[in-house]
Amino acid sequence: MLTSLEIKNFRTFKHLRIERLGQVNLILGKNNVGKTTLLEALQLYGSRWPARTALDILEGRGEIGGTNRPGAVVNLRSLFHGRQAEPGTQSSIGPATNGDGSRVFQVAKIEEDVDYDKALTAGQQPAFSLVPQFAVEYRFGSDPVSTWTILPSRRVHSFMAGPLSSADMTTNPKPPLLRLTSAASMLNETAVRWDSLALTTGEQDVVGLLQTIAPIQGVRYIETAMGRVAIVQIEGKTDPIPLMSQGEGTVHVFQIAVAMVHTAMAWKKVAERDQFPNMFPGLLIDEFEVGVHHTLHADLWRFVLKAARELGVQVFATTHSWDCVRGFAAAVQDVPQCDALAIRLERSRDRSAAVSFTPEEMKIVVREEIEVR
Amino acid sequence: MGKRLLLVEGKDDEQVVKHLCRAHGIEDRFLIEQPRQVDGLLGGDEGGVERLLDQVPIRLRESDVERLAVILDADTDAQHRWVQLRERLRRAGIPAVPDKPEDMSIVIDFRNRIGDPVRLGVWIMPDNRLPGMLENFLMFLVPEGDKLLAHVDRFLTGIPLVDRPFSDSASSKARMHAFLAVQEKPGKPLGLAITFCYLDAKREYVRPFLDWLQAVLVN
Repeated sequence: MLTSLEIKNFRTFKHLRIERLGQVNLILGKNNVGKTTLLEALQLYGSRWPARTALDILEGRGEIGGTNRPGAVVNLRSLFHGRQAEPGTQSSIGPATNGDGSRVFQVAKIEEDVDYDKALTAGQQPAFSLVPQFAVEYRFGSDPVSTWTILPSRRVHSFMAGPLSSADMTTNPKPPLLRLTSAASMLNETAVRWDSLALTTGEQDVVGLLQTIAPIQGVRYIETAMGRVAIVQIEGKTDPIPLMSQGEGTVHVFQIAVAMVHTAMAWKKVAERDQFPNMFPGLLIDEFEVGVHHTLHADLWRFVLKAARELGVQVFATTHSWDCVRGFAAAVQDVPQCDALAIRLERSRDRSAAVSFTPEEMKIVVREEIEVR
Repeated sequence: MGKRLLLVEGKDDEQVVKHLCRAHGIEDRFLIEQPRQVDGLLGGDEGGVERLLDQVPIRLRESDVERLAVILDADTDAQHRWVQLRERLRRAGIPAVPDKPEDMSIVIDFRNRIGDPVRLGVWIMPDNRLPGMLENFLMFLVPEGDKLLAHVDRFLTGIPLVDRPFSDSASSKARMHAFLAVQEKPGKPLGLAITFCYLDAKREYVRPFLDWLQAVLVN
């Protein structure tokens, strides 16, 4: 578990220090304070393949695209604060307690002025993929430096140091850290994750978690005209019914349960924990409130708090919603000794800061309707 | 501009501050909050002090707060009340919280996590020294040359102890409300009594309180 966090020179954050993190963290704050960036930083910190993760993040934000087109310029500058990136510029993400435990990204080389069209028409060596545009080194503590280089013809080429080969990137795509973004894409991802749990104890774990909210005895995905649909077996019923018919809350719980169990199981399989002390089993949820009816927040949080503890998964969720805050506050009162924090990010001029509220304080926040978002 | 907040124990405190500000032409560009009533039927301030004390360290972390003023009743001991709040502030890591208020009132300046200045002011009714409450403060606002209060006092002292239902600590409350019960328009609430001039907002005694209020919330 990550117990504190310090981010330097990464995107929105010139410097952010969070002294304490809980097992379950609700991230609050106004627009543009860096809630999503915080999740991105965690994603990058805990990633086994930061080069790929960095590109996924930038693509997800629409900051880069069309990277397969020859000559497309992939700008990695936005990974660095103020988009200021010169050779030697560093950003780092890690626990606040220990500078050596940070993951560091450093600009190694920039060659942005290569005119690939001209190079093509001049009939030059077509293997221009060897020409680096923007190279970023990354290292973890005193690990040997690895470099990833953005090439014009291929998205990314990563020169891995250490025991991982680039083949591992594709054959072992189960990171112990998951990010849930929008509800729509979650449905497909959930099906894939569910498949990966097939016939494992993880399947029973998910059903066990579902039973805390509904008398569900089993889940299957079946092929229909509308694609793959989850059906559930309900206690005392002969025929299965679609999971969807159980209501949005149940679907949400299912998606989160699958992601959490998936994360916990992926973590168990991580063999090289010593070599990657940055990895941790985590679930990052953007906009927790999306698709959740206001009456369901407390139930959903109670579920997340219990599941996080049982599975040993650390959760970070962002929200703008007061209903979500209230549900979180109610849930942290109900789940005894839960290690949960509400953390508001603030930004003023070029400074960033985190303001935390304990479960005990959240009780007062909600009772007195104190604005903490 | 950030948020400016005044925390009080109850409705009466809020009204008194509003009417005093109006009488002195002080713009009340601050919000007044009081502890939410847990049981709407009770309608009183039962447990209000604790609920107010508990929320001060959190209010200082409320989004956008730059000024926070707190008005508390001393009840039996102003110093004890201050210690109760002081310990909560220190536990919450608020820097530069004094051991005991050296002056009449308390004003603490510090910077919040993001580095912006925050000012916290505390006033303990009636005057940061004496025991008592809002009503004790208001007793000092009885107009000069008033003749009614003597009658009110004779009435109150005429009640044999055995028949007197209210406790000693509530006697200033009984006295103030008895005083307002016999005005031209009887039974005006505490705040409105100022605007009706049954209580004199221009008396010298009000000055330190208003200076404190303006220093914390207005200037």
